[in-house]
Amino acid sequence: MNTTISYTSLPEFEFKSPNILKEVLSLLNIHRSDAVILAGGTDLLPELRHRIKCPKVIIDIKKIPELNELNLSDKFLNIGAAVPIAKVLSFPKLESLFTALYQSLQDFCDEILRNRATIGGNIATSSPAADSAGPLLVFDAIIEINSISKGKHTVKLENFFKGVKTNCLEPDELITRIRLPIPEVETKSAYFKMKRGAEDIALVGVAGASNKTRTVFAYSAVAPTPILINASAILAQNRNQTKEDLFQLIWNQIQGRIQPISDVRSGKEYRFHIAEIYTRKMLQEFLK
Amino acid sequence: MKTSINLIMNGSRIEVSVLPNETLLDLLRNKLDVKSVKAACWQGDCGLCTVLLNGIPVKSCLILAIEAENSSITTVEGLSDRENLSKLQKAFIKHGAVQCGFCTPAFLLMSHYITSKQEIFSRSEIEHFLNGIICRCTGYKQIVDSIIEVQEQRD
Repeated sequence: MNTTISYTSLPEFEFKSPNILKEVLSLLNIHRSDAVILAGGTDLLPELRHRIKCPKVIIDIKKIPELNELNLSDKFLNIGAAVPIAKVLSFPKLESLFTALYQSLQDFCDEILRNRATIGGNIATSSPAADSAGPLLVFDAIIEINSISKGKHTVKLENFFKGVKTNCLEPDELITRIRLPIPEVETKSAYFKMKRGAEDIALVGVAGASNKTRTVFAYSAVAPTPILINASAILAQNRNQTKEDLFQLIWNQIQGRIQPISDVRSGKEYRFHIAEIYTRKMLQEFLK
Repeated sequence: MKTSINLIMNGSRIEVSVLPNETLLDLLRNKLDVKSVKAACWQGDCGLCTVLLNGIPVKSCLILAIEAENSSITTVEGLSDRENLSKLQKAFIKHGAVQCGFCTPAFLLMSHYITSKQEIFSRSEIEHFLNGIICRCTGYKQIVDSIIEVQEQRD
């Protein structure tokens, strides 16, 4: 028997590929932590190779019709958990309605991986550097979750992440949709990403959205989870300040919340510096 | 437990048995003996295992063989036969877009995907399309030149 662990092989598991959602939920209900969900597989397969995950059962969700739906309905953009990012990018109104999300997805890994990778997977993996997380946070994304024990329910993305690669999902729960409320007219938004090469993940990601009543920023790769910071009150209470003074007031609030680390991709001082520069640049664009 | 799956491999219908933990890359190289699909990084970074799955480029090291059930798979062997090279293959030769050759099958498949779209793309758009495949010889310019030439040849 061959017992050598090699990165070119995958551990053994049972593969399930149900056609209906109910079956996915019942498999999760039976196998719980022994099961993992497979959507695009772009995070999962490397994790299997490195034996970071060794599940007994892998449940492919790509055949479930409702998880492949992408539509605008009752004031929401609804993105099914199995919709590949390339398909989200080609959604006609994405760029005009959700500019920051469009910008982050355009630069999400690479052209080929976007044909498989999903936003549902990006959120479920819950990496602090998740590219889609910042833009989804500034648009107040709602994560729709389903399970046999609790049924269909929702969690605001702001309350979803719990730590580095951890979130509030119970072992029997599945993300079914990401719901984005259609922003008010004249909402400006943007995503700025600092990275090393063409297909790198963010060293620092700054997303922002702003309209007359609400201005928010979200940060990735500078804290254990992507974080959302609301600057609306500061802007409302200090209307007569200069742009730089406004920035300083907002940055003081942000500085206390972000806690970048040094790692193989960047030093923490550099991350801090880039977060500051990007926030200033974005605020200036919003205040134009 | 082995499962039997049907595939359309470069236009021919085939049936193969696969294990759940076999990737599409394992299947192509080890069972179907398609050695043009290269195994290099095994984690989706280099793009050298790219194949067209139902016409869409994907990295076969990140796909389970069983996920490809009932799909059509195109490798570089499916783009032409030895006697009649495709326009892209001829352009690659003309522009010297092949250096060591290790990345060439992946780039040809991606180039085929780009040139089979309706639009005409700019140099920077083409570069953006190619950002998931790495050429260690760094001969990207010649590859982009080849794609631009084939785009221009279309009516």
